[in-house]
Amino acid sequence: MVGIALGRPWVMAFALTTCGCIHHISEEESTVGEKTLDCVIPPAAGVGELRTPISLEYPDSSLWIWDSLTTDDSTVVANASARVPNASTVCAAGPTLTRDATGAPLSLLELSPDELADNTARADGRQLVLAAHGGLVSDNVGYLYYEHTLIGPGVFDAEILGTGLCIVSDTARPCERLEVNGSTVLWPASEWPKNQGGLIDGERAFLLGCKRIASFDVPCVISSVPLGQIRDPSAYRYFNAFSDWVEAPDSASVVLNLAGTVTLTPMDGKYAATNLDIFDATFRLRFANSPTGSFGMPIDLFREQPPTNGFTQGGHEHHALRASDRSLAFSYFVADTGARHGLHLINFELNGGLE
Amino acid sequence: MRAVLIFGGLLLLPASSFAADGAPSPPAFTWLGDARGIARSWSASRDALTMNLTIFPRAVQTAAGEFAMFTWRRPMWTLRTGFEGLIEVESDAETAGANSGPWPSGKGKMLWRGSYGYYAAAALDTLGKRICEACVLEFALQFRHESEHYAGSNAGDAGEDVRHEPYVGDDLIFDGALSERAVDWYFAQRAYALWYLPGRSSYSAGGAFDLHARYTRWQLVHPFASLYGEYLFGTELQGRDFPDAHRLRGLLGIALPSTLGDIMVYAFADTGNRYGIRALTNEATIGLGVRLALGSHPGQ
Repeated sequence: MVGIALGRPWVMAFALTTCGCIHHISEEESTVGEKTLDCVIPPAAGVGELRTPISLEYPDSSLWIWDSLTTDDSTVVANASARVPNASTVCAAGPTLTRDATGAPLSLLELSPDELADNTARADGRQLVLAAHGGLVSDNVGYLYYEHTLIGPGVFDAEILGTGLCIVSDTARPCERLEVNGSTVLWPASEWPKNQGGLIDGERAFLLGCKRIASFDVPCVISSVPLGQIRDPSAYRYFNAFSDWVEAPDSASVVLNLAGTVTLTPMDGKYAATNLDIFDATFRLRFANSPTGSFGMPIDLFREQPPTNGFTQGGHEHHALRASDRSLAFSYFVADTGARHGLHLINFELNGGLE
Repeated sequence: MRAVLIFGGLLLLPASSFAADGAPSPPAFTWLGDARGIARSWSASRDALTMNLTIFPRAVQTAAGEFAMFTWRRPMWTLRTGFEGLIEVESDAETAGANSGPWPSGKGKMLWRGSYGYYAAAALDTLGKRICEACVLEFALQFRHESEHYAGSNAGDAGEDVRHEPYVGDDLIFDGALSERAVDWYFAQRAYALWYLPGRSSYSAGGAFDLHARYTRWQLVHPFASLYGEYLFGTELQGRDFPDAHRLRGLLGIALPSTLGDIMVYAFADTGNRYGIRALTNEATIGLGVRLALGSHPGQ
């Protein structure tokens, strides 16, 4: 009895501590820099919700292109675009869509009359669509790479036909789709796409292309072409780590393999690949000494609000919208309802001397 | 040559002598001995240089020790100088079961950190006794290096880049300690000033304190309480701006004393930054641990 009486406090103390608990208080912010801007972009006049755009980066602005926008009268416009002069403007007033003579959003990349007629005539439930994938700008001319895809009849049915190139000489007008031997498919589906942007280094253009070969297996390769031959599909070569430049797609070296959007971009005298990790909504940066890599260990920049369902969307880097030479500008979309719902633009200022 | 002669002379000093009251006093010069005049093994810090096992909420195993390579006793002071080393392995997740042994285990990564240091400590014996008859006063200067790591998976999982996490690196630590006895109680206090070598740490400077109280009436059991707190000022390292860090940790338990040291069984509560490559996380925990603290326990 005495033992029990003496034992009780010890038993209680033991029970309290052996159920040892952890109360999480906080997690520190990024150590490599800080956000200098984080806004939800207001919708453009006359259209519904803005999803994540791809872009062409001009010296003075970023040309944002949406695969589809729905206007207030429920018209769906493919490949609508807006010239975004700087981050503060688009954060304050939203993007100013490029419009045609009727005032409707202009489709920067549009199907030809023959393709439209073919779509109308099809009886198999499939439709040809063009999806802009970004590219690069040289001498104020945009080179927009895009995918030809047959979609339907089921919701998830899609057949990729191959990649095309559209020349954006005037952002107020539809771009000029290049044709070779009567086809706008310049690179068949068996080749690597050019879908994650690119950059110019010296007299060459470098493009990053990633292909989903399994659920979360998305290898990326670099293709390159002399700027003077950028309109010639046969002049493009793939980077091979041992042979430098090769023609065969299956000889291309995989430089990255990341689930989520990747952007190849110049950065502070180096080259960088930015990435939005779709699993934990973390933006990451990898430096390289050349446009072809090798890309170093990922540097965690900052973490965003992970969605309650599905994955984080977007994550392209827009170097024309950077606040300074040492910052990065990202767009991404928060699908969850609430104050942070919508298309975000973030400027992230990196610390100097980052290794 | 002169230094060699002096050192040789030290070795030839009598192995023991007798104090004025007739009690045997310790040798004037000895190799390998207690690290400090005022032990640190009771500290509530996770950096305490002991053999330690934290069972809850996470399994943390520490193998550490500090030793005086030699002790040189003079009439007014005692100099001890030596080295210390620590390796600590921590389960990233909470304790969820027991390995064979049994031994507490948790899922997730195995985090570990290691440190070593060199020190010189001077106990001002005469000055200490002027404060009180049973007082000890000691100052020490220490160089310490610590690095943080995690154990890779045997299954070949992808590595984790932890450059964004704080790096303790190299620092100089100056500390001053005072201990005293009052009837059946023993008290010890220590204050630390830390200065980190520029470009070698994600901290620039800091301060810390150690408090300890134990009841020494019974020969076989000493109830004790310890409290440790530190504040470290973050700085820039390799382009990364590191935030300040703070930690407060208290132990409450019993020490089972022997001539070798203490077995300490304790409950603890802490708040502040985690250690190692999780130091950007701020949390509060309570748990249970056991410690083998080698070295003369302060109640002796």
